[in-house]
Formats: sequence, C-alpha cells, structure tokens
Amino acid sequence: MDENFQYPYVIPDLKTRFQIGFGNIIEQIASLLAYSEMYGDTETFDNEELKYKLRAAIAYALALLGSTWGYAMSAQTQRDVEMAKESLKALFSRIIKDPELTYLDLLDIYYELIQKVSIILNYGTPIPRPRTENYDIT
Amino acid sequence: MERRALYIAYLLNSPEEFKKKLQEKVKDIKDTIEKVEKKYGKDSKIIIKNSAMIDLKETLILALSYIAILNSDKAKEYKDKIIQKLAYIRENKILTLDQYKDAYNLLEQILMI
Repeated sequence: MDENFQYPYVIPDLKTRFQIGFGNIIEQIASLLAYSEMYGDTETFDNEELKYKLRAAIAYALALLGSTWGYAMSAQTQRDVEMAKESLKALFSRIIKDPELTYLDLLDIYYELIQKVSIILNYGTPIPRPRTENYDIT
Repeated sequence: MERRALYIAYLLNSPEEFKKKLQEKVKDIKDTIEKVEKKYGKDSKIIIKNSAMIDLKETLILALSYIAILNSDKAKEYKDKIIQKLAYIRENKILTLDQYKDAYNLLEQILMI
C-alpha cells in the first residue's frame, strides 16, 4: 500500500454507523407519517412502505443495542439492555404478524421505537454534538 | 447526509436540544394563527388546510417523538391526545381555526412538561 495514502475521511465506528442509519430511516418514517394522506385516498392508503421502514428502523435499533456490547455496564443496565432487546423484537414481530395494522397502530409503534432508542442511545459513550445545528428535522 | 442523520440521533439523546427544535416549530404554528386572525378575525370560521396543515402534522409528529424521549408518566398522558389529533387530521384533512388553535394549545402544554 502507498505509504502516503490517506482515507478521505475518518471511518465512523460501528455504533456511530448504526446511529447514522437509524437517524436516516427515522427521518423518513416521520415524513411518511406526516405526509401519509398525500400518497392517496385515506381508506385505501397502503401502509406497507411505513411498515417496511419501521422494520428497518427496529433492525437498526437492535444493531445499536448490539454495538453497546463491550461497554462497562452495571447489572441493572445489563437487565435494561436485555429488556430493550425483547421489546424491540416484540415490536418487529407485531408488524410482521398483524396484517391489519392501522395508521394509529403504526403511530403507536413509532412512539415505542423512539422511546426504546432514546434509552439505548444513553448506553455507552455519549453522542458528540455535530457541528451543524441548523437543520429542520422534519 | 451522514452528519444530518447523526444530528437526529444526537437529538434523540438530548431532550433539551429536542425541546428547542420543537419550540421553533410551535412558534411557526403560532405565527400562522396570528396571521390568519389578523386577516380574517379571531372568530373566523375559516378552514385551515394545505401547507399550514402539513406544518401542524409535522409538529405533532415531532411532539410525539419528544414525549417518547421524555419517557415520564406526565409525558405519556399526552401520547393519546397527539395520536387522536393526528388521526383526526388524517381522516378529515382540514381543520377550523378553532380546531387548529386547540392543537396549538396542546403543543404549548407539551412544551411545559
């Protein structure tokens, strides 16, 4: 390898990459929830895209949880991690198993997901504040 | 793109920062109400729709995320109220000025938590 070769940027660690993945997908979900009726008639609106993205977000949340492995944790935190994992799996399963999920159900799942992830993000090292702060987040 | 996504993750980890973002959006809703009242009067029966309605929906979704992050009993009281409002808007697509103000009041209450 060329000794002068340098990566164009610092490759983020695994946890940061999952945070980025989750941030991306949750933004898309929030937009879908806000603009849902713009996709067509309310009665016939197909929630499949929303369900698909929610499943992806849950997968990222589980990956984030997995990436906390190796951090020093108290016994209580370890129990919390295990509970968060089971809750996320239950949310995933709910989306897969219930074909009749309504818009209200999906809002409920979105709420539960944000709640769990905000707890998970507290495990391990804190997230550094990005330099840019003027984003409109919806 | 990555930085923006990371910023969102950062906000989910920072209730105080998230609240600031919500305050900005709620202020926009207040400004809309003031403009409408100034133009049509406080007791106007005018119907709110289009971009003003989308702004409200976005803000309600943001408020739902905020109370999820707070994860307190007090915050949970507002979860159903927000979901009901969003469901009503989705069903009806329009709101009267009074209903719009009602949603704004709910958002103000959430900011007081």
